[in-house]
Amino acid sequence: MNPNWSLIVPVLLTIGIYTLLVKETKIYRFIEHLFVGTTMGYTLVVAIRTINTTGVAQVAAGNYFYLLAFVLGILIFARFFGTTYSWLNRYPVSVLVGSAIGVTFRGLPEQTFISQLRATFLPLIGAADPMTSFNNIVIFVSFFFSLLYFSYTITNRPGRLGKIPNIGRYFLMLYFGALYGNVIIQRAAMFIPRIQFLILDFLRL
Amino acid sequence: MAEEKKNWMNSINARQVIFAAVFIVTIVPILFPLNLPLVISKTTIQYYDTVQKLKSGNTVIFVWNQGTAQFGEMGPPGIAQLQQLMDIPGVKVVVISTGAESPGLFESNLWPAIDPKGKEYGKDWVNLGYIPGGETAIAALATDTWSLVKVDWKGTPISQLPVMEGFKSGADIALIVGNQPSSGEEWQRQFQNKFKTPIVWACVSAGYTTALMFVNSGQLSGILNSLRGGAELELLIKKPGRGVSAMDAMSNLHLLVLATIVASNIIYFKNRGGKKK
Repeated sequence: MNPNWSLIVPVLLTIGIYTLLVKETKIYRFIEHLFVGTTMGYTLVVAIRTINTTGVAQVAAGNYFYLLAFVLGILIFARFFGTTYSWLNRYPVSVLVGSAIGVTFRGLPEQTFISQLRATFLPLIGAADPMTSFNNIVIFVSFFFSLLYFSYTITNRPGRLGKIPNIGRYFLMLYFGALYGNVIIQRAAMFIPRIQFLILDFLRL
Repeated sequence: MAEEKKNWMNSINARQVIFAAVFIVTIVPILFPLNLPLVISKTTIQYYDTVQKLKSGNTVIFVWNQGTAQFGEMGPPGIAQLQQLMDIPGVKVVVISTGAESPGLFESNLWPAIDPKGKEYGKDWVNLGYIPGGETAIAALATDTWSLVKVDWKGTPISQLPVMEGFKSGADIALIVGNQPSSGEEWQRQFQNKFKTPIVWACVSAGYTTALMFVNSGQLSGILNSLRGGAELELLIKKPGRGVSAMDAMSNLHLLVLATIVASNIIYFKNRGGKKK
């Protein structure tokens, strides 16, 4: 074994974070705060750098239109100066919200609704091969019953009719099961590289 | 003495036993690889095939939006994704991040793992760095790139970078290759809807199930399922790395989770049966 001692700081931080598995320790708390602080500090530096390159440099080059963005940006902080000035904060927020909604809404119906509907109503019989037909039927049936599950008029009916939407519940449970399976993969995928780092990079085994 | 031992045993809870088991089943296959077979998913093959269709002279956007917390999971797929792009001769790559943390991580951890295959910075590839503004910025990027981006991550004006001659708007982009936690819906809205630009994506596992519906609808041309998808792509580009070496541990961990689910259900039904009596 020939450990790479230049990695001792990240190794100690990794082990310190995992002390949480035994119990919440002061070491864990310290490392957690260190991580948050470092990330915030780095993000702040990047933000200042970006303001310089995309804003200050443009104004210096004579593009005075960019001053408007600076004014709006400064007005965001008006809320910290009492009720006399806090209303000024609404202007930059309105610009941000309005432009974001406008830009997003342009593509939203096509992206989340029309394309998905098009992908749901596929030929149930006579597709390229029997498996595709079967898959199309599964997609349509699961879509139909899942949608019906949220139709509260039918759900509240007495008798057998009221139980039909419950079929949708089983399809939803299948979806949640698949989602949970993938969450397990994600947790494992976050943990394994840390162990690889300790064994392969630090201990060089 | 016996009583002391009993107290010590009582202080251990089921969670700690599971954590210990997780450590063991992860460490053992990393020390002694089992080399279990890895089946390549259909979505990874779709991803690989879409990228391989690129031709010399095509410009590709590589969206790198990962922070340090996600690098362990999304780093190996990111390396495989960028390496595949570098392997294709003549393809120009523009790296863009809409997260503040990502460009630094790209420079320090992702790029050093890449073999550029003779591709020159500024001529064949460029890192534009952090572009703030979320979807509004992506829309501006698609409409008039040069009015939004003035300099690259190093501060060089883009007019001095030959690679940017081929990227004036979204219409110039042949493919978007993404690596971010979500399934890149904002890129679909601003590029795919408007220019029909094909998009391939690597997302975290928790977002994979949702991302699949965008593959079925053709809005994404292929997806990678986090570290697992990265391992599959490493095999396809014939450069096995950290993703492939993690897969034995991944399989073992899944078996352990299945075993705990079965065991906890048995205990649950046994206890419930006891209560009924």
